[in-house]
Amino acid sequence: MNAISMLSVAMLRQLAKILSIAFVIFLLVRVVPGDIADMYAARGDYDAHSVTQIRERLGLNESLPSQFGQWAQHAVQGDLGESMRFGTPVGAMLTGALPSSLVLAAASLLFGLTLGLTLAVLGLVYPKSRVVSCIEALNIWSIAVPTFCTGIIGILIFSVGLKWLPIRGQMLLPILIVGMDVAGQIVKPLYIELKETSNAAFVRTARAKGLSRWRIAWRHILPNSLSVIVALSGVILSGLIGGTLTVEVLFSLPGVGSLTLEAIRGRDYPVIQASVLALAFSVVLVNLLTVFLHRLIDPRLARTNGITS
Amino acid sequence: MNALLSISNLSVCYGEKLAVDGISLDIHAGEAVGVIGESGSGKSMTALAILGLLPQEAKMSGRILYRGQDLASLDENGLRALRGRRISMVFQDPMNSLNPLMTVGAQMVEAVRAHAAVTVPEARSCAHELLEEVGLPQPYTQLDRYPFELSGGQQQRVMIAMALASKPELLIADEPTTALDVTTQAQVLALLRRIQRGRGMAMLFVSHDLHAVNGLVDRVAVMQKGKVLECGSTDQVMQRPTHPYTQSLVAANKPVMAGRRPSSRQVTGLAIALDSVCLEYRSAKMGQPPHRVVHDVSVQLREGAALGIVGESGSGKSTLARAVMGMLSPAAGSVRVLGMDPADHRQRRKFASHCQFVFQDTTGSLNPRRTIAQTLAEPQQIHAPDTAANMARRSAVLMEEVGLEPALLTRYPHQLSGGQRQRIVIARALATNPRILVCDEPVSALDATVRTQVLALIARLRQERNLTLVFIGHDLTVMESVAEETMVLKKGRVVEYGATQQIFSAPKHVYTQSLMAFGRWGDRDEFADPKYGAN
Amino acid sequence: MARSWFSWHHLAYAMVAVSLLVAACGSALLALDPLEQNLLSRNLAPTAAHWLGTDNFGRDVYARMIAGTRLTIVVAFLATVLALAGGAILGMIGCIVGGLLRTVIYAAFDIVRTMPPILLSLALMVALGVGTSSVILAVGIAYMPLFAYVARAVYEREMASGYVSAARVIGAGPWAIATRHVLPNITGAMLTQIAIVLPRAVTTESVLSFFGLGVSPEVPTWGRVIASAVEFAEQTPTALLFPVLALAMLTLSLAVVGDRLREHFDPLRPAVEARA
Repeated sequence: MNAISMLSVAMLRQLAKILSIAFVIFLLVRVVPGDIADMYAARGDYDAHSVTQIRERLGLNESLPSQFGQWAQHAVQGDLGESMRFGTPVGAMLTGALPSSLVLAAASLLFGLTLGLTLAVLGLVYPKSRVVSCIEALNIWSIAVPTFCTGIIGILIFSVGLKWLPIRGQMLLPILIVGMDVAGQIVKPLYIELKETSNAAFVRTARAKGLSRWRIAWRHILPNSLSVIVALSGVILSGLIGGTLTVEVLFSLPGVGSLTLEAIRGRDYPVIQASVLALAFSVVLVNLLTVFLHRLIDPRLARTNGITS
Repeated sequence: MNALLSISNLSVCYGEKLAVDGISLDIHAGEAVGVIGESGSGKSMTALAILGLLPQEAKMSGRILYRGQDLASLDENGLRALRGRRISMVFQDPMNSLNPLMTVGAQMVEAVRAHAAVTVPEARSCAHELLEEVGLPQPYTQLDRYPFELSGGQQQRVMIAMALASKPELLIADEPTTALDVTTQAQVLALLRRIQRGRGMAMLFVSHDLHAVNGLVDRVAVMQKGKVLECGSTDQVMQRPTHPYTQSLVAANKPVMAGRRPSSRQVTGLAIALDSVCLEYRSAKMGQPPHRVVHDVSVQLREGAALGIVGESGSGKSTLARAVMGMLSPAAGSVRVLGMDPADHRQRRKFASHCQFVFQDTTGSLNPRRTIAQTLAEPQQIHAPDTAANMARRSAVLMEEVGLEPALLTRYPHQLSGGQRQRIVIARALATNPRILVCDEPVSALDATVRTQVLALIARLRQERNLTLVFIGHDLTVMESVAEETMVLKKGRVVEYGATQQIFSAPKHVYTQSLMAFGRWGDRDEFADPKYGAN
Repeated sequence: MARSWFSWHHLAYAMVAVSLLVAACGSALLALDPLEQNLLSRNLAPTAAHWLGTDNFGRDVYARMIAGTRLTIVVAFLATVLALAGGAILGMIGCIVGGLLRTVIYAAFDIVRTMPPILLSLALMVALGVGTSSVILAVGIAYMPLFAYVARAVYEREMASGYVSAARVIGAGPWAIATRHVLPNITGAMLTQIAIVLPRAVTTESVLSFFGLGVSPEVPTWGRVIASAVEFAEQTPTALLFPVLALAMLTLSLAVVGDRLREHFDPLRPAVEARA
């Protein structure tokens, strides 16, 4: 028994979680009195008879568990059903919306990590400078102020005020905003961790060896502090998803976020279900990846034998 | 003769405390100087001050002349030029003093290249030579290992090798052996002695352990509360100390004179019976078989008798104690205390009134947010609930019994010293009026002078209350004054078991002999003994 | 914190105090009806009659913001209390009873925790429909796991401590141990979490309103005010600027105040204090 079996158990657990999430979402979405057939009726498109027919066609008359069973069966085969509003296959809608969101998320993550790391290390090496107050400010801002607020302020400054960028369709401002969010989440815990690590015994040894401040910071302190970022990955991911959702709506970008929101407004069950599930799935995936990453960073966790004290 | 390093009037202020109070000390080239003191004496601060490695909050004043240059007035860049190059340092806890994410080789190469412009392969072969010099077997394989893969003794050798990388003139060693096992300690000390003599290097050796200092250094300075009380050649300070503090220190470190036996009472029933007990811990990794810590131990202890269990860390002695207390169930064999099964939860309270435990870690076992009065009231509330006034009275009586003023009842644990806390832990254990007392290394964390007092207390309590005693420790000399029978454990197995006197005068097993040898007041050439090879 | 924060703290306290005051006074401060549309006075910059100008429908911005303050704060507060009650109580019961109950409870919280709170609240709102109680429920449920996991962490840390082992050795039973040694420490951690969650609850509620899923669309919480002004950002930047700034300032102030409260209530304080 080793890493592989540990990983398989972890994966099974996550799979069970995804299934339960799927079922819960399924239930939630249908708990609302009034399904899409009612919506059609309310809009006056169809008469009562056609509404019943639509219900039957969409399978909304059967019991909930059996509806879920059918959905799950199809989902596993890759068929996520059809959008109730547009009739297009949900799978295609999702895959169409995915690239934009992925690009946005990846770029923001990269920007955010770089910014956060650099600021934290600068704060460590120049403890008496303004950098530390920047770190505090950035941290509080990204935790407290909702992303859409920051986004709107950005729009007001750059699009309305300075007229440098158009409001809709560009990715630069969204990436900066979500990236700053991510940076703000990690910079303070990382900075605190860096300071803690610099009190460690092995850092004292490094100083006693006569190494330079930069070398100690990059080679000794930073690698031993990275685990805090891995620990924060849940928070980072959460912020990334929420942030991407918001800026997609604000800046009218065609991503999964806009898709989900439109579906929620329109009671489009299959789409809501599929996209929320896709998001949950990605969260779970990232969690698994971070476990891997943690082992990579710290060789102590990877080896099976170590000296026990 | 001009001193290599000359400390004059050094003072270090840490927080509100004056850790070092105007001390002066000289170290000459090629000379080994020891600084002895108990915890809080300021010896470590002195060592750190030389290379400017004090914690940020500490403030230093005075002069530290090294070859005419005042180190105290140098800035960080100036100090960096000297660190590792002319003056090197080795620290106390080797496990935490090495970067856990860098291989041994990488860290050594770094040390070599810090002060010499060599290529990486050249640095690696230099590192290889250094590892050979410190007696590390298979140096090439060690270079690619991570620190956690090495034992404590090996880690410390690596630290020493790194310190020697640039051929320093002065090596400062701050309690380098304190965190190591007894047998390893002897080896590392022998190594230090060999290197110091061989390279003609000056050494400043800081320790609380008189035995270690005795065999290693030419001159000794004794520190207490930040001041140097006495300074002279090792022979003179150790054999003929002049200052009363030094005298008490020396006396506290001598083994108890033979012939002073602990008294044993009338033989009555069987207090503790262990029958082929095996103890296991579940492995941290899933799917791995449980880790067996204790193999096949059998003990029969009569009421009123005292048993000492001796072993190094990892020997399983603490685990055995926990099994006796019922905190752990045996994987094989049976444990019976006064006829009861200690692990039986239903009889927990009854068992607690018969058999109690004195913890090793006083800071951990006392709730920091509860006063001493509340802590002592707890066992009474469970076993003998009474009016608040009566319970308070009983607490005061307990305090006096362990030699503390009842006025301390209103204090919190962090406001008391280590020795006082240990007495409180004993008082709490006595509150249920037990017949058996199991003590897990109750004096290991205490200074030598306090240690004798607490041991005397335990002996007295045993007499007065006719207790059955199980005493766990790693120091064989302590057992002599405490227990008539002793059991020596190594890696979970009983290596020797019999009358303490017997074991002391004629140890049969090699392991016991090595334990004994290091605990003794030996003569200085002991460490030149070839049997202290590399671990 | 560095001394440069000194004035910021005061500003934060002031901001929170003012908000609470406004929330309490409510409509007494209103001169104009926040819902009344006056198409003749559209998109005005601040004037004497309309202190913060009007939006695209002629509604007075100032009035809308005042009206929204109370609702925003009350909803966020109630949601936090719900999260605390649900998370901490369920969590502690699970821990003390142990066994299957604990596994089930924490598995449920794990599922809830997997989703980012904003997304979860959105999904819950779909099921619950618009309305004040739905928002409180949705936001409350989304933040329950935070409290539950902190409660568990404190419980396990205390259980592993030396003095709990000592208490077991003395012969104390599990409920006695829980009340004497574990519970006093939970309160500190809970207060810390409240200080963390409250600003987030405000944020989540405003995001929900912004997306149109908040309390009923007639009542103007700050999220709604902002949402309705976003479309007309170019025509009436002031109608957008003021609510956004106000929201940012409120959440920042809450976070700063929460931070200070957290330092004050830090459970490790007694030991730290005395050690100095």
